[in-house]
Amino acid sequence: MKKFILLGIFIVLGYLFSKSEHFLTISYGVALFLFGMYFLESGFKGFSGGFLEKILKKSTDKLWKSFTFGACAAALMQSSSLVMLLSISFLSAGLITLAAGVGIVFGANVGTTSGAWIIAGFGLKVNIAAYAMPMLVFGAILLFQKNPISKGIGAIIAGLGFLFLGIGYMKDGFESFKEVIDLSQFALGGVKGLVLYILIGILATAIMQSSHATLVIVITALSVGQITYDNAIALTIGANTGTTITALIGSIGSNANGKRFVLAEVGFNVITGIIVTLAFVPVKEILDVVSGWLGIADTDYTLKVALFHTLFNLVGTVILIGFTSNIVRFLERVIKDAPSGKQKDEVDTPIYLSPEAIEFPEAAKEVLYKEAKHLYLNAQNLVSVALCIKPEDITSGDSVVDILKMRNMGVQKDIESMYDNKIKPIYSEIIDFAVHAQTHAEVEDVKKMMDIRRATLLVAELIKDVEEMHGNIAKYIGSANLHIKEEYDFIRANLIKQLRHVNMIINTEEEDMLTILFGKIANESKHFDAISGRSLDKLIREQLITNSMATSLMNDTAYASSISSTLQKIAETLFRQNERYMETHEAITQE
Amino acid sequence: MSKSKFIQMIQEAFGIEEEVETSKRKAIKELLTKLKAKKDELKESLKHVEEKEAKDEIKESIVILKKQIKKGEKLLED
Repeated sequence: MKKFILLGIFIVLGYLFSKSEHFLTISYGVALFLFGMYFLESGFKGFSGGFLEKILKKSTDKLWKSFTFGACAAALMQSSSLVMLLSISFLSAGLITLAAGVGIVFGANVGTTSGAWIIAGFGLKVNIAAYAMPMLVFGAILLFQKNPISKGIGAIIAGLGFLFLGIGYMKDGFESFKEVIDLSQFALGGVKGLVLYILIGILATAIMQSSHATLVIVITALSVGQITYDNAIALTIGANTGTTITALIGSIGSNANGKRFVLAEVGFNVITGIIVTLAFVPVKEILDVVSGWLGIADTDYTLKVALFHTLFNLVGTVILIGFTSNIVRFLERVIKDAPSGKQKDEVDTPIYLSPEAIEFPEAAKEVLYKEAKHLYLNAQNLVSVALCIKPEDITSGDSVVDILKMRNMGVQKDIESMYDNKIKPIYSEIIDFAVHAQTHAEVEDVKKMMDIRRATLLVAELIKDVEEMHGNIAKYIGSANLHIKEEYDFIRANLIKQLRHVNMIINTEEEDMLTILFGKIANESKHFDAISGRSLDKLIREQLITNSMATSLMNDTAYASSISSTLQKIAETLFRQNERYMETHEAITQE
Repeated sequence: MSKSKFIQMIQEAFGIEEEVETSKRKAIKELLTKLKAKKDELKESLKHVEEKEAKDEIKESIVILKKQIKKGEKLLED
């Protein structure tokens, strides 16, 4: 279906191009403009090198800070979409709160209006295309450099060059077009005109996926008198509302927080659009008054449209910012988190790996870390089942001796299918996500992502050992031979203790406690080496256990030893990824 | 005199220790303070515990803390 629509668009455009050279020039200008925006975005992504991410992470604890971040970043990059994308990825990773995300939405909407000012105040007043040529040359030279920073700067310069060139062509196109046909004769006044041009604005923005591009066309057409001032304002309302369609499409793959963020953006634009449309006449009067204060001439309609665009978003912000906490509560009520309490045999899927985070290393590392912890907790449950205890025994306050007394009946479980349902799907998604995220990351971040991959591989190895051991545990803990039962209970007790300690490491932030816990899990893994020959010889010599039992015990002690050291490695590898202990992990762990 | 101690002495002489101290050194120093306090706290609690198993647990923790304090001090020296 999509292919047919695209083909249809090509045919219609091809026909129109053959009929009107001026239309071709305008379309060419729009294409160059969009191309410029694409370059600008990719340039900022490469050039910032995590700079924006670091600011975003640290400066969004208060609403005014997130608003300022959104406004400045969108004004600097001349695009709110990259700011939104970055914010969605951070929100999905849990690095910023939803309230901060809403603040960013308000800020980005105001910040992005700077574009209309640049076009109206600078782009149309000077021969902007003349600046484009040298910029494209410098940009292209820098683009071919190996250094990523030079490449990024090159993309930004080339992007601006294309933007300027696009504006120049659009301006020329509309001017020449006027000689052939005067579009202003189709101007429509009153409510009909308002509604029709709002719809045209929405449609144009939805097609071009950029309100910025719609606005540049509107302002350029207005500058040469091809559309009326009233219709230009209506188109601006439409452009601001239409931009939400792009956001809605982009949110399809996001998690609940990403969807809430997009709903906030949609809500902001739609509510503001409705308010401004209903109060169109008084809004225009206010616009005239404010234009007078700012010294904008009464007939400088392009600057007045730019001012309208800013006022439009400021009005929305002023009205809605006081309700941020209500908005957050509403969003959380409307869009619920995916249910976490899955059925026993249901296939578990990743919780944190959101596609938006792939391109931003800080967010990517965070979601990978959280997902690896999720994977570990699933593995912990699976190990508990293999040890013939209940997963909740690990976090209960019961003594290990009491747990062993309570769980003294072995039941064979299908560990392999549990692995297929609870481990494998998440494990493979983590690897896939990390492989893709690494292509966007710097060397240091790649190292950390590789570490997380290593930890997930260890989890998979852990389960293999557990699977091997489970059959004998289930067989011997209820055995009438108390000697073999005691040996297997010894293995279980040590592993339960270690699982408890690793679980405490995951849930503790106190550095002194962490140090003790890491010491304990290290001691526990050494413990298995000591018991490997503990009483086995005596048991065999005195024929207290059969040869078959002895062989099983020997093998399973080796598996337990391997499980124990793998648990220690997983805990240490994951702990290294926690930013909080970046400088102290060496002194805390036994590495 | 080790290299790090010599550098530290020079830094102290010029009063620039605070400026050049890396955040990592600061973080480890803070950690060592916490570990030493915890060790003292556990030593004190050992006097009031009667049960053998609990006593062994505390003793194990003290040994771990001693080892990690040594490790941290070595990291500071390097």
